[in-house]
Amino acid sequence: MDFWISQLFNGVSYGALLFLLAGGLSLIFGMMRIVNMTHGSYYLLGGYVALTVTWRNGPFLLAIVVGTLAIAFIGIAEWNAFLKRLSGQELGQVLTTMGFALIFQDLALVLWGGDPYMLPVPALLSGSYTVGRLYFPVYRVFIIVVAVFIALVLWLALERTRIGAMIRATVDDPEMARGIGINVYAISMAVFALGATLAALAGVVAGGFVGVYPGADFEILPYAFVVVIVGGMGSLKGALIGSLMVGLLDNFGKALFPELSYFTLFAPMAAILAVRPTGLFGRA
Amino acid sequence: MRRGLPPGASRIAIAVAFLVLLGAPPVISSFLLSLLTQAVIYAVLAMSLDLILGYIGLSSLGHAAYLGIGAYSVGILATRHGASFWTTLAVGVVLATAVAAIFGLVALRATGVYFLMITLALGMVVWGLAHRWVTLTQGDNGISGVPRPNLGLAWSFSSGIPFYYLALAGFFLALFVLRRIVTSPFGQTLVGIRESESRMRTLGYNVWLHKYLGFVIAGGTGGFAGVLWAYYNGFVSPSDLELATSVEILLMVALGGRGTLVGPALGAVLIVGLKNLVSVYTHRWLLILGGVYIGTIVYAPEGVVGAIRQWTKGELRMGKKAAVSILAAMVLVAFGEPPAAWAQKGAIRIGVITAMTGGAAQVGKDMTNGIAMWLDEHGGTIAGRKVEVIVEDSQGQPNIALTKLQKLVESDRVHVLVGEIFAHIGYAMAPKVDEYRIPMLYPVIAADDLTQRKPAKWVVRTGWASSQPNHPFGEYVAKTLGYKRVVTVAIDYAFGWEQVGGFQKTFEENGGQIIQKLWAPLNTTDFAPYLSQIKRDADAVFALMVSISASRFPKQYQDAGLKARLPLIGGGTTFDEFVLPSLGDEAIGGMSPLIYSAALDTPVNKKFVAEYRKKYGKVPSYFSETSYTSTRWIAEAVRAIGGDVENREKFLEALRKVEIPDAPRGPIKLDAYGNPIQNIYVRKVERKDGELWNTVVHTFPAVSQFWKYKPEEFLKQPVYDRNFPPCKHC
Repeated sequence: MDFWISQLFNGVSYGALLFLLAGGLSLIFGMMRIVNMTHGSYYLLGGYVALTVTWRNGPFLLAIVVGTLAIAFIGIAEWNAFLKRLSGQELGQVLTTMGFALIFQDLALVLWGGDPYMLPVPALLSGSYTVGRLYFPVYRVFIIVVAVFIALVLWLALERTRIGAMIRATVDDPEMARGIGINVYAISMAVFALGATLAALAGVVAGGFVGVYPGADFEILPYAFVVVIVGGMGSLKGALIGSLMVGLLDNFGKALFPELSYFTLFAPMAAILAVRPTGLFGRA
Repeated sequence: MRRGLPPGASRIAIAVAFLVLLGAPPVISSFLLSLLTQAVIYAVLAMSLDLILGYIGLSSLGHAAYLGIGAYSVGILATRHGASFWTTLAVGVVLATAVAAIFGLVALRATGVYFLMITLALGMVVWGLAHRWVTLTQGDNGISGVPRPNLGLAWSFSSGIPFYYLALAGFFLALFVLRRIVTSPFGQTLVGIRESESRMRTLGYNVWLHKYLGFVIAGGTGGFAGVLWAYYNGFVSPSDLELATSVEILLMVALGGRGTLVGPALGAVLIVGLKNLVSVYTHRWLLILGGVYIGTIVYAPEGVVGAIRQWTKGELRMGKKAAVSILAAMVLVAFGEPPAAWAQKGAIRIGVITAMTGGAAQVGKDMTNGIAMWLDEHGGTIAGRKVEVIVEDSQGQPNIALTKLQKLVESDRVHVLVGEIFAHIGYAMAPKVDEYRIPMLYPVIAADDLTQRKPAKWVVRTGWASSQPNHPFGEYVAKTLGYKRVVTVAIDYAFGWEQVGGFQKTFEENGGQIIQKLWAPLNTTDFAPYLSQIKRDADAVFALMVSISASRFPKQYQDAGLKARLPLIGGGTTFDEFVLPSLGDEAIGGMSPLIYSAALDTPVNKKFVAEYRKKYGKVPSYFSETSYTSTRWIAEAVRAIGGDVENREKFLEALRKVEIPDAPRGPIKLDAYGNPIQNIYVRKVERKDGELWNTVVHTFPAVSQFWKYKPEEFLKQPVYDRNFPPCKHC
């Protein structure tokens, strides 16, 4: 029983991290159909920028703010300079964003070197809660809390605000949205920046949990994609459920079937897609 | 006025290209020949993807899977079952075709972005199996020792030129077959579908079936490329199946010009050349490759061949510009072979191969720092001869390491090689080093069998064997620390198996019991699934982590509430100086054995650490120490033979006789099997002046890789492995 409870908790907390990473990506997909291989780089760079802030004795909260804002600007610049012109050209998007991913990877190596680092976290978030014989690391609880908070904010913003309604309208039908006077250009840029920001936030949060290190970008990228395709592009609910599924499958797969651990993660994904090519909550 | 090329120019260009492909081998250097061989194999792969991308009009992000299936068919069948070329070829192609037939059913339900994403997921399924189904694929170790094919012909394919012609024949065959397909009514139908699916459907064509057949043929052809690739490299590893490989194939197709077959082949030549030649000049080659990705889409969206076509028709000046610039780049690549190092005649040339980019870049940096430091201290000369060091970036990839090895030996004519980090690359390089008959020092690679059951004559290990520190440590833990029941958590590849195996052997012989063995993949980020399985009635946990995993494991161990209850001990790399700066209080108290500790309290080491810190701003790791000492090792040997490094046999003999009584790590000399006999230090992580150090708590002097066993007896047992020694108390 203990085994199942702690694995469940581990899976959910990993899923929470994935939700931060993939939530914004799902919106970007849904609205602009942009395949962004740079998403993993936002995650990586977010962690590195935050690391620099803590090295200069900045507090953890400041590290989060600076890390996410810096990456938001990078995202906006990249979108404005290249990606907005490539709508509908998947091949062009894949190759252009892959080019950026390689450039960011190398720049990170130049700027921060190749040593692995752990982002120092405040004492408040270290240690663990004990319930009976079970241990729940505080930091993992923190990740879940952040993810729930972000999910709530996003849901409220999308469903209950005017901008949210405009975003939903643009996801559903960009031409109609433009027709009724919505500034699709500004909305798209804002959503792209939001996606980059959330990926960077995931990178900062992960920095205190799995560390910041070269190669993290391409390691996490397939997970982000898988979450989005399983949940369905453009669906917040889909991203949430997709993240939890991937987190749990990954965790239980590794614990129960170590030899087939990635197979148990990716094969069910492929099976879902075979039945529903647009994902669980996606619309074609 | 007509601005275009004369009609027929493209035919002439293609004819010239074929003549070059046929006639080049005897003229070009063998380094270029190996690049050309890689290029024609990749050309097959790129052409197969072109069938999907150029003719069906769908972008696939999972094409590396077929390369992997073909390659693993060869790896598994040829090494374990001695299968012939024709058997592996048939199995590889049939298997790839069969997998494509299944994947096609799933993937072709979607188009556009969805198709891209589904093929990505399917590609990851195959990658996941290669990476984790260790009993079948050897996981991260990869499969090495694939023999070159023997077709029963008069000439042997083990040398470069005949194998090149075999690969070229494969390329021509694939080109011929694919060309027949795309020019047939079937191929024309595909183009029709690409242009307008609904029109073709209205005309009565079975659109899905056409796409499906195209997809399956592409998969089978990709498998064919994989078969050639495995025979070329001599080994197979999961890195061939990564997402980045799939994207790279896409780039080849786009750069050359999709929908043209010849274009993607050209793209393959360009990218293979770029990756291998540019990295010779600059370690920042990734920036350039990234620029090529972006530049292709911005300036030549139709690729080289597309641009040339536009030019031929005199349509677009843009096309001309793009074609000229790309062709110019190609000529540069072709003639950009690094100049041989004859300029510095009289210098002793040391070739260094290590990862300077990618995840292990910092290890590479520590190594090159160690080498540079020794040379700086000695005026850059050995035995009166100037020393020239040529560093090549292996990018952490076995096939790149082999290409760079060839470049260093044949173009730069180095006298001695130093390098590499990963065991699978070490195993892949050893036979090549023997073939070239050039001495190579391994300061880092610790795979046991390199100096035990599969020794290579020309490889001199100046580092250590994986299980060497753990034999004494097992005894120490059982007798001195008094732990009786231990759980092991280790990274799931040969280095981890050998570390755990060595520890288990002596620990159990001294009354201990290993009660559980857990294995985590190399790139594990989250250890929770393993930590929560640890049996709580143990006395201690033995962990074997490396670099990145070592930096995160102690924290997660503490957060899981384990540190307070079960003391953490481990292999040397779990707490080595490479990761200590990234660890905090959670690591304090961790005990591990290694051949070196920066905290070693000897005058030689104190001086070494102080100088290294002054120069590079950080504490030296064992990577730095072994590379520093390796350079001295070379110097001692060169002095012994009076600087006559051109006499390789004599040089090798001298290298094997070197004894260093006062290295920073202590006295070293080689045993009869070529592994250093040296001190093993049991170390404990402590905080001193605000920094973490590995305080030496016990020294086992002059430990051999065979510990207290007789070498002949010891070598009768198999190499340590996941299941050897078996877990009797689990």
